Amino acid sequence: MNNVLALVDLHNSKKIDVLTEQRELASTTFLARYAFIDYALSNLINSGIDDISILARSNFRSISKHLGPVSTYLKNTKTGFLNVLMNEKAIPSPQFNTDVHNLQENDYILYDSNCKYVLITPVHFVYKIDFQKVIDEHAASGKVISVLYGTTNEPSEYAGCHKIVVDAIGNAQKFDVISEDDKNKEVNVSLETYVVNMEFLKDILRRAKDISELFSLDELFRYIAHYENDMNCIKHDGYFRCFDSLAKYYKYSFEIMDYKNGADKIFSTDNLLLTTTHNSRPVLYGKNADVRQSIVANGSTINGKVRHSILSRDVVIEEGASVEDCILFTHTVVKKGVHLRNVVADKRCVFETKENVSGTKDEPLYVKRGAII
Amino acid sequence: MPRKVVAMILAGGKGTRLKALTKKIAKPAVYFGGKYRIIDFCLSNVANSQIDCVGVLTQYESVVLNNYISNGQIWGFDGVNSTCAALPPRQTEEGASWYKGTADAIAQNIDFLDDEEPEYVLILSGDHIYKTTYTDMINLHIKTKASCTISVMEVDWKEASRFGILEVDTKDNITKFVEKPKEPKSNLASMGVYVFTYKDLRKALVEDMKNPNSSHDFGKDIIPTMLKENKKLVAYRFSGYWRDVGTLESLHTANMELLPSRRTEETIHFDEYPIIYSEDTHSLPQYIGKEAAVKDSLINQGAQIYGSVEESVISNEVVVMPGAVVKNSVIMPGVKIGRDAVVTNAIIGPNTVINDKEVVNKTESEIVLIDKERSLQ
Repeated sequence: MNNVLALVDLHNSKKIDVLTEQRELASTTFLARYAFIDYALSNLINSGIDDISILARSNFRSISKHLGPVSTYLKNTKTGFLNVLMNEKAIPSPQFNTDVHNLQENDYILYDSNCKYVLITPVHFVYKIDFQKVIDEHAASGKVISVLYGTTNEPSEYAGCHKIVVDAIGNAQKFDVISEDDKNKEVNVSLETYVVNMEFLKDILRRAKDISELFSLDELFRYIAHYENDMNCIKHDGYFRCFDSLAKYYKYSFEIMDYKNGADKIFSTDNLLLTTTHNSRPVLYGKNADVRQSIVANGSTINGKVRHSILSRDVVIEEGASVEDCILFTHTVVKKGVHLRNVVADKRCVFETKENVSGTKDEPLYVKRGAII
Repeated sequence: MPRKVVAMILAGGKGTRLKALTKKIAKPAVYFGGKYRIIDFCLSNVANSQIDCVGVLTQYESVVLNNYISNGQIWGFDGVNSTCAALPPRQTEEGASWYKGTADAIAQNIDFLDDEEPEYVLILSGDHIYKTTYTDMINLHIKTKASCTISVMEVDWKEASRFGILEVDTKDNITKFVEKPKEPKSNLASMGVYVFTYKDLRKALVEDMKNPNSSHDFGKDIIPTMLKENKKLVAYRFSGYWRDVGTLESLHTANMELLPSRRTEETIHFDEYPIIYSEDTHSLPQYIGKEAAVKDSLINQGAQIYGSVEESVISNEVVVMPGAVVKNSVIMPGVKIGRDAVVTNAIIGPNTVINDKEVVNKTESEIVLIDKERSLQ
């Protein structure tokens, strides 16, 4: 789709507690072989959008490492474009490290483009969508800006996100933070994904400093919708989740894991989920392996008991070890006689001495990268 | 720009003994080890030897193989000044001709080699399973100033008459080469891996093309002729795991040797250097279901296992339904195994559907192949 420039906006990514201390949510391991940015990029590529810039605020190394060569995502590496934009000027003054400043600093990306529309999407909302239909709906509305939203009967799952009051003709009447007062109500959750006309975006960026130097794009758009222009609302009818805490990361990962229920909502055979390759071999199961209800990424070696867990690349579960309701990141080793339950283990952890390591279903135990326990 | 070494991989063979597995694809493109194709091994070996120019000679059912080789990106040959080219037979001003033998295949691509200006040419068979780098062999060739160096391995004396056998002197200079001798006088078998000094190879190929009685084969024609001409031919002793997977039984055995219970220090360990590179499908991670049982097996991403899998190699996008039992079998990509089906001692070809309650090879007597079109084996 040559008339759309996509911006994957990492500036407003939620911090998942300790999990994102040293990395962006975008490059955080998710569902064994993916990172969160893979879902946003796959949605774009599967929708035919291949002119993509990533607005990054920090942790550039982990983002670049995860992305690998652009051929991982782009169908044609000549006609397609994928790059990472950052705002070096904001490094000494982090309060100005916003997506607005990043885009102002790198506005050549807009001025060099012939695209009519700009689609801006974050990575902390996970869902499957055909953005082509969203663009078409925006174009048909005749408005200069549209916002994507989903409807939920579980507003408590989205506390802190914004709800949208949609009027009778499909315009955003009001944005508000979802709170306890919304309990048991049906609310429209902003997915913080916008389609804007290119010229309109250029104009907003020129005027942004007169509105607020500290606003994010999301805040700027909500301001515009409130005071200046009509904002068209486009409904996403499918499954969606917002990842903004370790507890939700843990809960939703298992919700999606079950292929018959959650997974169909973001996985499908006609929509490829794209991610970088690691040349890992298939999974080796030993004679004593006992695995059920789990997803396992290539490179792992399993000779122990695994129940209802998510194992990333190159995980080792030795004979006599057991893992239940756990999410283990790459290169985690669980040695003989160790039993893990409700644990989220970051990369390269080794469990060898303590026999029982456990958290709870509501509060999984996070074990930091490289820990030896 | 002249290159030190160019590799040429012979990948045109049909592999008749693999029956329906090679009905629509060449033997080097046959799946192996749940994730790989046979040709991944020699192409990875070439890449791991820091050789940056490779020609792959394709002929029989070359569409899949040519497409797979593409620009060599899978093995990293898409870098600066690297070349990976599929070289099927072609039409020229002199006419069109199939490759009439291994030597003829190289001879018909002398222009490709001339353009690359190599000092040495490494010639390989594209249908063997082994992990190595060719660096030591090439260094030996350079050090001994040989015209040709042949990689050999010691085989069981009882098996020797199945191979091209080399006789050598005390310095491993080759004195005689006999193709499948009835009474072998040596147990050094040729692995079909040759390093030639290009100027000597070029001369030998040009002369061989002029010989109407030649079968244009390295083992039968080029090597014996070079020996007759008193060229220096040297044996390079390879020790390690090497398998010719030319039959259903040997393909099945080599797959089984990847399993935890059957692998030894000598067999293929994919995690250890040199790494074997392969196409990484955009598959989901594998899912092991609530009632599943998996033991002593190798399972690739994209598989969904709801039944029982034991002592088996399972490829991507395979589904084993609840109640199904898979044992001692190799299941190739896209296979669906129905509810309560039993598959033992089998190779199931790509995209085959095994029906609910179907029993494959219930006698457990010998390896059976079931392919998508249910060709009778």
